[in-house]
Amino acid sequence: MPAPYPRARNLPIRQNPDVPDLRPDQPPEQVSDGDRIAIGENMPLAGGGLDLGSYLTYLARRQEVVASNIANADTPGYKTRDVEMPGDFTSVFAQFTPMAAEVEGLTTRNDGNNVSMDREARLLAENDIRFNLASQLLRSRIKGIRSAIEEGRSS
Amino acid sequence: MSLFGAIAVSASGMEAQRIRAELITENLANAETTSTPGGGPYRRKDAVFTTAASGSSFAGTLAEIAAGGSQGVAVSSIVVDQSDPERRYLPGSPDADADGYVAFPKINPSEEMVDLMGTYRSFEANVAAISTVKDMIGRSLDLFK
Repeated sequence: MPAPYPRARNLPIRQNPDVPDLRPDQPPEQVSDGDRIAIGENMPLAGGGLDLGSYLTYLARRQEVVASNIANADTPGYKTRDVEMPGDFTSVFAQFTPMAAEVEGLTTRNDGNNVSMDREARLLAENDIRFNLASQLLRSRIKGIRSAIEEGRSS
Repeated sequence: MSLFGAIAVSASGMEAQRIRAELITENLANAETTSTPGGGPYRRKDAVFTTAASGSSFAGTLAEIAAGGSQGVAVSSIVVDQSDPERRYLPGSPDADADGYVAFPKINPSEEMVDLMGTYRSFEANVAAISTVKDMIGRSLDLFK
């Protein structure tokens, strides 16, 4: 038996016998987790199961690792590192910093270093474009919220 | 860590390459130096690079190590070439030995120039990384506009 739905501030309820009481006595049905993402309180920024903020965090982290690879392009014995893109951002990024792991399948030079400048240059540009795209999307979401706050008067 | 961490990493790369460039220019400048305060000809110097945690704080460094990545670069030591110097027959030189030979530094200017070009390219790559990251930070700030 669920607890009765709490009335707002427990104000005395004025009962008019002619008007039926439209306020429900039962709490609303439980929504599933999937629905909660779609209609939850943080919907505008993390809606549709796509957490753009976490994606930006991931791209920033990856850019850091790429910068590290470029900086160590002449360090003997240094092995190229990369961060894997997790399948589910919402769960993975909530708690952990994405781990950097060594990259397989690159040609190792005589000094034990396997940094490929072409690969790093490509990733640098690629991350920049991805970051650009994700931040544009996030920006348009923020614009939508602002528009709602300002009752559509601006933008 | 953050985009600022990426800038710190690239900056460490720039610093290391700058030190290497300094040593190369020193080698080129002293390619004909036959006497040094320590005695003997000038000896070629080279920088040894090693990975280094770029975190500015202990906690930041620890977090970076725990996350297993994003290391900066540092010059761990400067090695001095210990191989025998090149001997040229110059009996008139004040640095000549009893047989008339002068010990010259074993420096190949072409080799040094190629190294200098490599240093320049690596420096450029680090600068490119910083400017890309700078753009990304700028775009994050644009979110509030």
